[in-house]
This record gives sequence, C-alpha cells and structure tokens, in this order.
Amino acid sequence: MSVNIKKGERINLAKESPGLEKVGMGLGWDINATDTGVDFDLDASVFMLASNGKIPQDEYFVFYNNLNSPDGSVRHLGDNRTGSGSGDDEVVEIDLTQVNSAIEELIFVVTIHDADQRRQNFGQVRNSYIRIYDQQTNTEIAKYDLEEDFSRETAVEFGRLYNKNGEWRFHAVGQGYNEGLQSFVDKYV
Amino acid sequence: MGINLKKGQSIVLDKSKYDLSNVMMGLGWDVAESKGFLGNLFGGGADFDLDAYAILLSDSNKIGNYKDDVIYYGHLKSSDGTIYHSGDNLTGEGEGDDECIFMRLNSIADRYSRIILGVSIYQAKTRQQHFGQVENAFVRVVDARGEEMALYNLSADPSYDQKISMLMGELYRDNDKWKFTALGTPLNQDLSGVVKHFM
Repeated sequence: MSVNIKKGERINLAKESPGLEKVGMGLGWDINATDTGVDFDLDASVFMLASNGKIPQDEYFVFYNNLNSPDGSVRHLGDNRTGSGSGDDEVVEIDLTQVNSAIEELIFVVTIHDADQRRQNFGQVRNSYIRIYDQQTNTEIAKYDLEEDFSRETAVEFGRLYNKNGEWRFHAVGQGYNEGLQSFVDKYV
Repeated sequence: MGINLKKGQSIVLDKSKYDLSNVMMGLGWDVAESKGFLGNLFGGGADFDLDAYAILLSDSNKIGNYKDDVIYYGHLKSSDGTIYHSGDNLTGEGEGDDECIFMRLNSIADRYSRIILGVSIYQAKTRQQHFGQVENAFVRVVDARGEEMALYNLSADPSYDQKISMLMGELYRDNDKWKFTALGTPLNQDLSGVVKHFM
C-alpha cells in the first residue's frame, strides 16, 4: 500500500515508517518493442551531498560507473541498458544506518542515456516508473509514472532523502528537465 | 574519507559498448577430412591442431616471466587464476568453440596491462599446414554479456591463406578500464616466434 504523495510533499519517514533502515530505489521500464527503435536505456543515480550541497568526493555520486558509495551505504545493483526483465530493472539499495555522518542528503535522479542522440523522452518509454520503497517490508513510499508525468522530459530529479535532527525525511521533488546526467554532475559536484 | 581536491576528475559518464569485466576468446575449426593414400602422400591428411594463446604483458610491453605469462596448451592457468584455457583440442573435434581462453579482467593482477590474443597451428611447418587448408576455422572474442566483439574467419579469408598463425586482438588497460582492439594480423611465425618477440 503506497503512501500517496504529491509533488513537493515531504514525509517524515521516522514517523511514517518508524524503524526504517533500508530504502530501495526501483526503476522500471519496458523494452523498445518497435522494429526500428533504439533501446531505451534509463539510469538511476544517487548524489550524496554534504552540508555545502555538493558531493564531498567523486565516489559519493553512485551511478552505473560507480556502483558503491565509499561508506558502504549505497549500492547500485547494476546497469540495465534495455529494460529487459519484469519489475524493477535497476535497483539502488540504501542502508540509512551506514550513511557517513557528513552526508546530509541523498538526491535521486533518473535519466535517459544519450536521450539527445537517440531523440528519446520518457513519453516514449512504456510503463516507465521510478519508486522508492522500504526494503524490509516492500512498502512503497513514493512512485512516479515517468511516461505520464514527464512525457516530454529526459531527466527527473525524483526526490531527496534528507536528515533533519537525526531523522530521515523524504521530499518528493518531482522536477523534470530536458537535460542529461551531466547537468546534475555540474550542479552537485 | 579525505576531501578530493580535484572533484569531478574521475567521473566518467560514457558507457562502453561492451562489458569487458569477463572476456572469452573462442577458437573453432573442423576436423581434417581423411584424404586417403594420395592425400597423405602430398601432405595434409594429418590432423589440424590449432592452438589459442594469450600473452600477458606488463607496462613495459614485455613478458615478465615466460613460464607465467603465456597461457596456452602447455600452461592452462595464470598464477592469479584469472585467466584460464579450456584445454588443448588436438583435432577440432566438437561443435562451436574447440578451445577457449577465459579472462576475468575485473580481477586480473595489477601488473598486467596488455593481453595479446592469437592462434597458431601446431607443427605447421612439419606437417606443411596453413590456414587455407583448414575448414571452418574461426576465432572470436566475446564480452561478459555474450556479445561478440570480433570474429575472424580464418578459412575463408584469403589473408590467412599460406599463413600459420595470427594475432587476433589485444586487450589493454586504459585508466583502470579494459578495452579491446581487433587485429586480425596474419603471421608466418609460430607461437614460440611470437613469444620471443615479447621477451
């Protein structure tokens, strides 16, 4: 049963899901079933920011070329370049108890790889979604339908987990962009 | 964790087309057709024994120790266990790949920075053999996802006619990532000749 969350809304996870330790980010989509289409390659990434709003070290940007954060708290389970497979095609696991104390927020981003070259946007990607869930109970905290809600866009800053007074809270940002992953790197590195 | 002063330097957003964490080289060919008395008289008639090999090179582009750094029918496994040969096939018996070399590049020892892959016909000079006589000989390299990165048809391609060995391709380390370049170079030297070149 998912918590209905509106764009911009914030949830205090410590209150809504007390004892929440392990959070999963799941990204799913269907393969490009058209005869002439190029694969849809969606990517889940996490930027782990210190108090200055930037990653303290390159390895705190977890993505397909850097699957593990240095503190061991964030693990990307691997790049799926086509969407093949049912359910979540890319998963990032976050163990909130292991997050380095210097990290104050985690930004969750979804992008379409090479969207410009391939002339793709989320509207073309069938059944594409991004969700965040409690890994232990598999309860969904928030979910966005990318095909519907970001149809003309190629990147979404989906949400942020931030630590306030020792409690983790989730802010459903839901901001779409016509940009690639580089623009987030420029912003957070 | 210290603060990395040069932030962003190690962030690479490019995706390589192939996944080279685990690479396999496959060599296959057909068993020699028995040619009968006349065939034996004019050479051939003996088995074709093709051999896959991998030469492991350090930064200096040389073999460190020829006993460790050449993987072939006489030395099937590298000392760190990350590179291994499926075993000598003396005739080409069997479908598909008759000899394979598996390379777990994501765990290979740091000292290796280049791997030369090749094929050589065993006792080619004694048996008077060359690739032009062998049927359906091919060599290929496959990535971790089973995608074929290169394929050479040694029988049909006239470049290999009258030749006894070839350099198939090379794997090399570039900033901690392995990459592959296909070569396909036909040679008149056998395996020991090629190895000597890198000593």
